[in-house]
Amino acid sequence: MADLDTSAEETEPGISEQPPKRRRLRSLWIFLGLLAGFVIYAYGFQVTEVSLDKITDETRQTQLFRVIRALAQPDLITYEVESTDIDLDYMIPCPAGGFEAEPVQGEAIFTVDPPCAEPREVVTITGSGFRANDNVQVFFVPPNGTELRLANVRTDPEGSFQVDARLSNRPDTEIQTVRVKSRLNAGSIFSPVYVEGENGEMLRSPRWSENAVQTLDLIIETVFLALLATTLGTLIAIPLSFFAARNLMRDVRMPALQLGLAIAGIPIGLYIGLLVSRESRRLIETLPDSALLQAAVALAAGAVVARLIPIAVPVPGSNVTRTARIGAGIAAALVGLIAAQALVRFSQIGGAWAAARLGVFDFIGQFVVLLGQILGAAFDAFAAIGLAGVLAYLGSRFGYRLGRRVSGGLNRALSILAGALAGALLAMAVGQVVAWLYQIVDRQSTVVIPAVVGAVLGAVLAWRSSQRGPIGIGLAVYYTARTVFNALRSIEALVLALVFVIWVGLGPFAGALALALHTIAANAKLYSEQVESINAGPVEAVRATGATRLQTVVYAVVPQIVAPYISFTMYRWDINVRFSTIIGFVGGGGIGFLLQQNIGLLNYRAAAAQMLAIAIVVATMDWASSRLRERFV
Amino acid sequence: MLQVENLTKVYDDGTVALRDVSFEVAEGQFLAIIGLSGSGKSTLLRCINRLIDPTEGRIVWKGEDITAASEEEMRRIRRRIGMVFQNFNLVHRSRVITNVLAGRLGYTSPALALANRFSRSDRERALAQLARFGLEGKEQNRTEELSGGQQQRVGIARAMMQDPEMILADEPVASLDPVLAHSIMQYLEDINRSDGVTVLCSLHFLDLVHRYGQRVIALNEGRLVFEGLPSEIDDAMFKDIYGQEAERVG
Repeated sequence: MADLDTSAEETEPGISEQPPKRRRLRSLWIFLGLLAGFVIYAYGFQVTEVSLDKITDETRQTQLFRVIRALAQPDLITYEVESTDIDLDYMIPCPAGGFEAEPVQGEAIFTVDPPCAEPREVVTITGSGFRANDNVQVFFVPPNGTELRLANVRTDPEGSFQVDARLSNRPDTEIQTVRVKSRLNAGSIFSPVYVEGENGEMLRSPRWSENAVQTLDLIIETVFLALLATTLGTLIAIPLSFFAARNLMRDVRMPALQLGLAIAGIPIGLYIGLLVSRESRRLIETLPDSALLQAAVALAAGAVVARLIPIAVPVPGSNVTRTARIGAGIAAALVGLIAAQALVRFSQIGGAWAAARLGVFDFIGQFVVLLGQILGAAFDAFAAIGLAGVLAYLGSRFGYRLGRRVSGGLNRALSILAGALAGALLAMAVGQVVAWLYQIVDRQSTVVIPAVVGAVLGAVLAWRSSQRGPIGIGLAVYYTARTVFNALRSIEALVLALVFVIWVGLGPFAGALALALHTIAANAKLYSEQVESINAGPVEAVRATGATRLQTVVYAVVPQIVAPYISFTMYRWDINVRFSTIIGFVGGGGIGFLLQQNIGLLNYRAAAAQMLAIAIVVATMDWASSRLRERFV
Repeated sequence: MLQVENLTKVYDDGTVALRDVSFEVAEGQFLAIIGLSGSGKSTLLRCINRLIDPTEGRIVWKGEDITAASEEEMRRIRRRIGMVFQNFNLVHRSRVITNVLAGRLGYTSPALALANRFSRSDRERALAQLARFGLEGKEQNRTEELSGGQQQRVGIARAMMQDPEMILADEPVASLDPVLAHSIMQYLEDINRSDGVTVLCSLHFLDLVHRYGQRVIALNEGRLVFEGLPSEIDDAMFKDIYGQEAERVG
């Protein structure tokens, strides 16, 4: 309180010191602001069609109450229903000479008076020996077997009943049937039903309704859909997040010569990577389909790679010649490809072998097979991108060395050349994308013109860089990554799901892919912000020990971001579970599909079960993720 | 011998941190660098291992031109230059031993970085360094659990893992209380005397300079204003370095 008083004393003189004109102006501004707010909200009310009439309308309220009551009784449990049919022969109309049916045998019996009658005549049905206080239904059954209801009646405490009913208008020469159905009340959790079993009285066992089973199935699908989407999205988002971190990318600058040759290495690497990947697969496929053999090949090739890598990437300052290093590097890459191909084959063969022997757990074997298939399918891409990266690196090293060897005019000329080459390549790549998008076949406008324009732009950039210093390629990558993430993030996962449904069809796979893509964009941004907020001191210190950029990231950056990364991943899983509950609305699988269907069919009790399941799962995830996050931050 | 010739650093925003600084440091010397905050001490030390690229001038160490070294050569040079920081610059969440082992990264194949592996001899060496600086049994602790003085000793152990021939110490005791300051300075003195490591150490307090420095250089607004023995800093000199209004406190 004391604090409040003093602050009031301090501010008041301050206001009174202002000239009256300014005070009036201030009041005017406040008034105008309030007026503007009033207008904005008035318009808002109009466009959102706010209507008190609709809220208080009686028929609408009745509907609402019906829904709310249905929601309070989720369709989760059913009871076994036991029904007994007792049939009595009957004739409409009475044949010549009359008709007398054979009396019903058994404990519960009934008669109809008279035993035959004209159509639409009123008859009396009398029964006894039924269950006390039970609902009994009386039907007329013509020869085609349809049950036409004549009456509903309740038995008295002795188990007897008597009811008058008008017969159906179904004259026939054949003998027809009057049927009495004694059926136990379906019951509810509040009024359990007892029956006499062999061992005395027992509770009629409640069981999960079909809706409950379906709900459980789909809620599990929902949680796993979210898990897969989060895993896939996170795996891709983590490496990408480094490119979107300003503090890591800011200092990445390259002279034009180095950058140009690095970029030139990319298409060559892509091409060779594709070629080598296909060849290595062919090589592996010539081997017999034995899991053991493939495993042995994978292990042996892996061991060779492990030997080659220290030669290719030696301890700095050791006397391994450059030729040996490059040779070992290329050999390691090739042998590594073979190892990976063998591993893919092994997982396919071994997975199938295991699936045939695991019984209930055969899905594990199938999963291994599928992993092998996915790896195999993505292999060309991995190899191409990997080799493109390696060649870009080699190009950059070569450019760096070359740049240090030559100087002056020659250096400038080489830089401009490299810049032109890189510019032309990049522009041609863009040209190809445009050609594909708009289905342009004219090679002049998709290859030649872009190449020339790109070359000129690249040359100009290289020339400028020769005067102004290295090109800030890091920042260019940073801005590109940020832009892509922001654009992707602004598309809601629900919209993405619509696209993926077109691609892979209705079902949880489409939903998982949509959520994964959204996760990449959203988490890459969150992650990169974590990288940006790290303490720069350790990075500087590790760099000072002579570590490479990669080592600096591994030893100074990664330890600082592991905890927030885990925390954000948990949070994203939580969000994804929430989201996957409604992604079914657009056909993306999960429980949303069932929920939407039941709401559409006005089956609110069934929908209530799904809502309950969603609430339980989301609340549990929320709790679990916050508990886990507490541990890590 | 470390020769700094006409070193000038102008930052991108136009700030001139160093103006035409030249001096020499003999092998095995303990050089103290003094000056006000912002006088260019940190920039000078970081130019020597090229954490900051100087704008003009040359730095030659043992006949090798540091300013002209390529990235790869620079990494090789850096691993022989240990660095100790005012804020210790340790990774708080990592274990003590990991922070110390990071000093060996310049001697480790970069391919092993992803596997997070160090050789057995590196681990033994790290334990020996921890023992030398009185941190036995702390190797598995998280670094953030250590006190300030202990953290700075981890920082020194990390620098010593590099087998350095020179140590750059940027205000190594400015974040510590006076008692701890002397303990840290004694470790640096011991490294200088027993291991023959050249030490360049920037300091705030003149009594530390008198006690530990063999030679002193002083910077004021990026200019070298004094070079000589600690005993030569008299009151007039002091006011030249720290400004006319400055009072001696220590």
